[in-house]
Amino acid sequence: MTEELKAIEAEATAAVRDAASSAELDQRETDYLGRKAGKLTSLLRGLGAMSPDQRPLFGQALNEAKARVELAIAERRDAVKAAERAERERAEAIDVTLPSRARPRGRMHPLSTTIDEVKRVMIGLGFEFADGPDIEDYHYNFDWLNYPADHPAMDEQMSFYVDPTHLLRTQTTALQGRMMGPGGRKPPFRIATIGRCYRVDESDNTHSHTFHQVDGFSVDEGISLADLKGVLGAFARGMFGPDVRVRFRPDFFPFVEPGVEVAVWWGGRWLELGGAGLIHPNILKRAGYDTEKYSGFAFGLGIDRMPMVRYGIDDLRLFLENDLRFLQQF
Amino acid sequence: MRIPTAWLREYVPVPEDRPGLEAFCDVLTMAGLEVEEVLDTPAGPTLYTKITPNRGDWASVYGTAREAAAAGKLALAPYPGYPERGPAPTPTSLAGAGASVAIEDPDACPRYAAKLIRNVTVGPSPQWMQDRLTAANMRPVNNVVDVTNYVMLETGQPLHAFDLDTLPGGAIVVRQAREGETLTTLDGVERKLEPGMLCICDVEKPIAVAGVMGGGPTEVTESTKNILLESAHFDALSIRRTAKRLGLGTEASFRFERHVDPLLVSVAAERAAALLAEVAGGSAEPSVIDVVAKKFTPRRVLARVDRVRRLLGCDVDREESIAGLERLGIRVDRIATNLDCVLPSWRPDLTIEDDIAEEIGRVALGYENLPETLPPPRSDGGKDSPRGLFTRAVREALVRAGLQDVHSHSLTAPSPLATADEVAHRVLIRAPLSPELSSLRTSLLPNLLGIVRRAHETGIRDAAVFEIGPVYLRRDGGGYEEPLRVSGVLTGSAMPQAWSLKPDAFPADFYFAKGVVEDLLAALGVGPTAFEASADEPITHPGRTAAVVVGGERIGLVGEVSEAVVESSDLPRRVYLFDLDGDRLLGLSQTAGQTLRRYTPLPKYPAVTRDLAPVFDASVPYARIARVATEAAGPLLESLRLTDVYEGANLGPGKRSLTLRFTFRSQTTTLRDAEVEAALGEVRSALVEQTGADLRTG
Repeated sequence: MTEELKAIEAEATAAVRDAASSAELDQRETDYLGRKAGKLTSLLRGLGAMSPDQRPLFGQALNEAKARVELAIAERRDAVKAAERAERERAEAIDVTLPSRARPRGRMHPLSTTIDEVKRVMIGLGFEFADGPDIEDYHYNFDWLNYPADHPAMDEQMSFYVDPTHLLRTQTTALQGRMMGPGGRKPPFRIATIGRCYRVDESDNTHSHTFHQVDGFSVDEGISLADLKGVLGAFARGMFGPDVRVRFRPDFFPFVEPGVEVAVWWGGRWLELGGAGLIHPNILKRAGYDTEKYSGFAFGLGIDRMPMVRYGIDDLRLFLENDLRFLQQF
Repeated sequence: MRIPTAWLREYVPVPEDRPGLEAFCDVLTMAGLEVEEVLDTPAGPTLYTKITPNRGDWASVYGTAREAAAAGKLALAPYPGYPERGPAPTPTSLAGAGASVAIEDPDACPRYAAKLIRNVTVGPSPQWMQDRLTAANMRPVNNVVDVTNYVMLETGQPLHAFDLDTLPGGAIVVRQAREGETLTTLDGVERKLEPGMLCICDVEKPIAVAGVMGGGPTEVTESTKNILLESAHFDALSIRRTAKRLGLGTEASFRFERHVDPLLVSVAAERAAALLAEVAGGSAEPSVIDVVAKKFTPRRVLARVDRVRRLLGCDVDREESIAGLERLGIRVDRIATNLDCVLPSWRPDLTIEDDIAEEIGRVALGYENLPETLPPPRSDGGKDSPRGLFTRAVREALVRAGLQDVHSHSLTAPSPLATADEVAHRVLIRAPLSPELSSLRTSLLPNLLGIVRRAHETGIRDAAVFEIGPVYLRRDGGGYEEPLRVSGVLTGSAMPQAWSLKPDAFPADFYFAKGVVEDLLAALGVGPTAFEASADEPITHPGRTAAVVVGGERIGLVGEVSEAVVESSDLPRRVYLFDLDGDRLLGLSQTAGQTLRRYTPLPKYPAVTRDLAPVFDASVPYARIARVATEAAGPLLESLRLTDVYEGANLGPGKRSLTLRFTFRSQTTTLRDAEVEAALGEVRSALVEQTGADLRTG
C-alpha cells in the first residue's frame, strides 16, 4: 500500500505540473483528489483491510500526501491563472491612441477669465464689488464726476444717448456717485465695479464702441497718491507677476486731482492700463465728506487690453464677435 | 499738435542727436505732455504731442518750450514783448486812424486788438515758413494767412486778417448774432447764425464767426492791399458752444475752447505785424487799437505744505517745491510754512490747493520718485457682489456641462425675433449712426442664435453656447431696467467625440438641453424643478417646449427653435435653446444658500429592484405617470427611474411602453417579497385606474 501511495503521489505531482490550463488542472484535481473516484482518495478505502496497528501510520501518510498534492495544485493554479490572465490581457489590448470619448467641458470666454482674475486680486486687496447699470443717468456719468458742461473733456466721451438725460455709461466711474451720493456710503470704504462701457468711436483693431473697465475707489483718512501707487502696484503684481513695475504719468480727468495715467512694465514694454488719481475735492464735498479729514483715490482700468497682450490678440473686436474658432482657443 | 524741433529750439535747448531728443521727449511725456512720436518732415524732426483738454497752453510752440524748460530744468528764452501784467481797461470803442472797434459783449470778448497793415503784396510765403506750417499739419495759403497761422502755432493766440478795404469805415463790432443773420464762411458754406453766437461784424452784418472762422466777403485775396489784423481774447465756453452748434471745429476754435492766454493779445499782434512786414512787405501803423473791456487779474491760491505732503504721501522738500512752481511761471510768496501762489495767465486749470499739489508732484518731485505705500488693511475685507458671485457660479456650471461661455454685444440692430412685449419696451439709441448700433438687446437669444448660425457657416455643426448678462427694457411709467438673463443655444451632437456612437445617437436635443438646465439648477441648489409643456411660446416649437417651474413660479423655458424661426433666421435644423430669468435664479440660489442642508445616513438594509413596463397612450405625460406611481408605491419606494421608452407597431398606434425601475428599501428591516409585491400591486392598480395603463407586457 505504501508503495502504491508513493507511486500515485508521484504520478499526481507530475500530472499537476503538466496541467496547462485551469480546466486541465481542475480535471487532475478530480482525478487524484475527487471525493468519489480520486486515485489518492480511493486509497482510503483500502484502510479497512489493514491491520489496526498499520492504519494510523498509513492514514497519516495518506493525509500528508494529499496535502502535498493540494499544495502543488494551488501553486500550479496560481501560475496557470497568471498565464491565462496575461494571455487574455494580451488579446484585449486596445489602441490607446484612438481619440477620447469624454464629453469635453465648455470653455470660459477670455473676458470672463480676465474678469475673474481682476476680481480675485482686487478682493484680496480689500475691495468690495458692486454693480451699476449700463444705462446711466447723465448726472452720474458726467455732472457728479466734475465734468463741466460744454468742456473739451467731453470730446473724449462721445456717448450713445437713449433719452436726453440717459446714456450708455462711458466709464464705470459712474458708480462713484451712486455709492457716494444721497443715502450712500460713509467713509471709510473701498469699492470696485467691473462692467461694460460704451463710446461712439471708430471701430478698428484697438477700438470698439463697447469695452470693459474695472473701477476702484476708496475714501479714508489720509489716503495719498503714494497709497494709490502702492495699491495699483500690488494689483499689477497680482495680475501680471512679481516683477511688474507700475508707472505714473500726469494726465487729466475731471474727477481726480492730481490725475495720472497708469502703465505697467510688462513683456518688455509699458502697457497703459488706464487713468487714476486722488478723488477731486469737489466730489468729496458733493458727497458731504470733510475734505480736511478724508481723501480718496480712484482708478479706472481697461480690461480688454489685458487678454489682448497676454494672448497676443491683435483685434479687440474678436471678443464680442464670438467666432467659435476664436473662443475654442482659450 | 505737431511741433518742429527747430522751431522749439528758438526758445529752449532741444538736443540735436536722436538719443538726446528721445530723452527730451521722455521728460515732456513724463511731465504729462505726451510726445506720441517724432515725425520726419521737410522742417526736420517734428514732435507729435497729445494735448490734454485742460492745457490749452500746450497748443503752441512756446507753451511746449515753457513746459519742457520747467520739467527738464532748462533755460527758457523769454517771448519777445510778453508783458508782466495785463493792460488797464480802455474804453470799448476807440476811433483810430481809419478803423474802430466796439465790444458789445464784454463777457464773451474781454479784449480785442486791431492792427492795421498797409500796402502788403499778397503772394506765397517763404519756403521756410511753408515748411514749418506743413510740418505742423497746416496748409500754406498765402503770406498773409500763413503769418496769422504761424503766429498762432508759435504763441497759441489765433489771429485773423480782414481785407480792410471790404470793411465800411474800418468799423469792427463784436456782438452776438441776431435772429436770421447768415454768413458764408471761408469754407464756402452759408451758415445760419443764432443769438448766442459771438460774431465779428461790420456796421451792419456779421463778417466772421468770432474765434471759429472768418467770412468769405472780407477774405484776404491776391488783390488785397490793406489789412486789419484781429488779435482778440474770447471766452472759452462761448466759442465752444458756437463751434458745436455750427458743427465747425477749427484750429482757432480748438485753442479758444481750451482757453488762450489773455496777455497774448498784443504780443501776437505785434509779432504778426513784424512778420508781415518781413514776408509781405507791408508797413504796420505804429499804433494798435487795443480795446480792453474786462481786465485780466491774476488769481492766487494758498497751498499748505503739510496738506501737499499728505496728498502726495511723500515729504517733498519745500524749497524744491517752490523752485518747481517758479519754473512753471507760478510766483510763490512764502507765508509762514505755506505757499501763496500767484497763478500765471496761461494756467486757468489751476484753481485749488490740490492743483498746486499736482504741480509739485509732477514737476518738483517727479512721479518716478513717488514711493509705493499701502493704506492700512480694512477689517471688513473684500468681497464680490451677489450678482458677481452668481454670475461666476452660473458660468462654471454651464462650462462644466460642456457649453461655451460667450459675451455678445448689448448694442445691436433690433431683432426680428423680438416679441411684441419686447418691441414695446425696447430701448432705442437716439440718432443712431448705423442700424447695428440702434437699439439695446431685449433678449440674449438672437445674438446666441447668430453665433450658432455663423459657426454653422464656418463648418462647425456641433455648437453649444451660453451667455449670462443683462437685457435692457424701458420701464412702464419711466426709467429703465436691466434684467439678468441666462440663456443658451445648442445644436448638433451632444457627444461629438464619441466615435463609437452613431453620429445621431446622442443629439443635442430637447432632453439634452433640459439636462443642462437641470445641471445648472442643481449646481445653484435650486429645486425641485418641474418642466411643464408650454405650447404658445413665440419662437419655439409648440410641441417641444417646456416652461421651467420652480416652487410654482415660472423662471424660464427650454425648447426647440420653431421651424418658422429656423427658416427666417437661416439656422440649421434642430436647434435647442433655454432662456432663464437670472434675477429670480439669483434670488432662489441665495435662499438655497441660506437653507440648512443635512445628510441622509447610509442605508443599513438591502434594496429590492423591480421593473414594470406597462403600455400607455403616448399622450399621457411621464410626469403624471411618475407621480401616480410614486404616490401609490408608498413609503418603501426609494427611487423610480425610467429605463426605456419603446414605441413599436406591435403596440398599436399612439401607444408606448415605458420601463419603470422601482427600487424599494426599508430603513429598519430587510424587505420581504410580500411587502414589495404589495407595494407593486398598489402601483399597478393606480396606473391602470389613473393613467389608463395596459399591464399586458408588464
